[in-house]
Amino acid sequence: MDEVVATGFIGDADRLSVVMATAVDGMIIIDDTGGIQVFNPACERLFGYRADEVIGRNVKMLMPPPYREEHDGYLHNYRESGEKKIIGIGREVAGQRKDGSTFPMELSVGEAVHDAQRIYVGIIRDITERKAAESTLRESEARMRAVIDTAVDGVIIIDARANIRIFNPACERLFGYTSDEVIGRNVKMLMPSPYKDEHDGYVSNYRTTGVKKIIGIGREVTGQRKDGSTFPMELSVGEAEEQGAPVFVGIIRDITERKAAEQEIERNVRELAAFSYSVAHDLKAPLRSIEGFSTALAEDYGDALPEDGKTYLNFVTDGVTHMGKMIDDLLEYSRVGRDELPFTPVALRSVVGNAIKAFSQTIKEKDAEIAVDGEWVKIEGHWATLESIFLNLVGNALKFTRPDTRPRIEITSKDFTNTTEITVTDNGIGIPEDCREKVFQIFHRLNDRAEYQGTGIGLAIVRKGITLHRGDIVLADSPEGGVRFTITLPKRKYD
Amino acid sequence: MGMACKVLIVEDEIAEATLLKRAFRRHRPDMEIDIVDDGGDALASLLPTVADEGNQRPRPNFVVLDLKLRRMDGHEVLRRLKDELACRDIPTIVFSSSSDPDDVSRAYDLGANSYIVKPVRSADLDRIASLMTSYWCEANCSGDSNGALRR
Repeated sequence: MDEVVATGFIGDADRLSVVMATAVDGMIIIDDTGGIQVFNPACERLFGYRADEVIGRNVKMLMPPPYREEHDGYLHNYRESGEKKIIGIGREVAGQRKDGSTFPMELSVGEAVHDAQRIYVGIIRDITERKAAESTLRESEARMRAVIDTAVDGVIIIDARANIRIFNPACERLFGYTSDEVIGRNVKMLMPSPYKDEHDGYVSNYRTTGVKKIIGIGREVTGQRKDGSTFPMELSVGEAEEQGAPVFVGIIRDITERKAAEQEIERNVRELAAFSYSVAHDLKAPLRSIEGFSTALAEDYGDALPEDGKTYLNFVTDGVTHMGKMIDDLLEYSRVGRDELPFTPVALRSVVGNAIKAFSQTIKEKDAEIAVDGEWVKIEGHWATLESIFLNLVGNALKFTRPDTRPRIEITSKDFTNTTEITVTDNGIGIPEDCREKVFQIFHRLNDRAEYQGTGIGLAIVRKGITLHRGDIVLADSPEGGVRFTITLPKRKYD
Repeated sequence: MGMACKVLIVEDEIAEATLLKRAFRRHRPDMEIDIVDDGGDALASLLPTVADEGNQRPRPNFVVLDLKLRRMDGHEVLRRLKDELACRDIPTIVFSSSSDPDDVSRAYDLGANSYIVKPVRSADLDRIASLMTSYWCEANCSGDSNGALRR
């Protein structure tokens, strides 16, 4: 940079030259025919010419075609008609360096009169970087726009006043509005009552208290199409900032089909439960007759029957008794989950304690050893269902024992972040590997009824109860020769 | 025993009625047992008519009423019985296969004196029949106490 000494009094001319020499922006002064009179050091850096290479030459040498050819015309035109192309306005033009390369620059031109001569003062700023940043931004905006426009999910961007700013083609398909019809309007036009009326409250509530109803959470809501029809949608809302102001980005998915499928499944499950309940219930009436009259027959006329007849009658009453038990079990099974279960905090340790207590007589008779161990927690669950799970598991462990071994049952619990795990391990007769799925089926029995009593409903009830808690149960060999059930239960109720 | 014991069974399943009758007879061989298979017939035998001319009809000590009946159902029979001043105090025991809480509470709302779910096992039926006769015939509902209640 040129050495500039500015001490003491500086004359006007000196002052001007100091400004020219130190200015970051390029400064060029031309006369009214385009001849360059002043070319400051910043210009030298910008254009790659030394001042002495350009002084006196026409300024158009600093312009690439076609501006170069047009410039004489501009000046002439301005002199004749006063019509300004750049003067007093400033605009983005291209400059050409000595090496022929071009660069974008912002040019502002003022005019003055000096020694009765009209002169023009040009201030030049290299905007290469700004242009590059702008074009990067434009590209990323275009990319973003392409993503939004081609997204399968609906995308809506609203401002802090809930006015719609962006409404993508997927939204146009979902709602039946064109983007022109909704841009600038309040987003509640896309909601049916009562959400429509609540939305203003949500927005202002969030603005003042920061309480989020949907933002960052996502949930199932209802949308309203242009024709007034509604549809279930999954909405997730994120918050972003645009030029310092908050905007909300909503991603919308039409879940009509998913909802319909869910409802279908729910209906089927309910129907099946109702069906099995009514079947079981209706089976009871004829059973009462068979049971009642076979008993009456045995009691009132038993003496008149020959031995064979008595034996046959015994088969009838035995069969009926077993059928009665199965029907009761079927009723119990269909009752589990027939209605919405009230969930409360349940201490699993006491549930297990209760289940063990229920078998105290059997435990004494079989001289069984039961060990309860580990970290026990409370979960949100349905007490009676959880209790029936452990009643069945403990009951099974006490039932399917080896005649020659002292029964030993170990029940332990482990605590995890979101779940708790409980294992029930016995040293009983075990369950063969290839039967481990079948044992959970209703009325599936592995053993002879004479040897081990029961209808085979226990594990079906266990699995149904665990499923209702959105948990899981797996079955493996126990190191002690029996089976080990591992139950995983979420600590909090599913939504 | 001594005191007369009379029951009206309202039951449209003849097998069920027969089993119940047998169970009652095991405890009270002298028990007078009427069986009707229709709600209308039940009302006809209990509600007073002009022909009664103010004389009291022979009343059962208690009524055993099934809910699922052809034509008029048990709830309706119950409602009409308990609406009628002259019959209101006849003990009426609903005896149904339904354990639906709605059925139970509706029966009690209409004035049922008891609600018993039909048992499957004949031993349970035997026990229930024994309790019914001892409570409603022997301990509680002699003709005199009925009279006292009415007053």
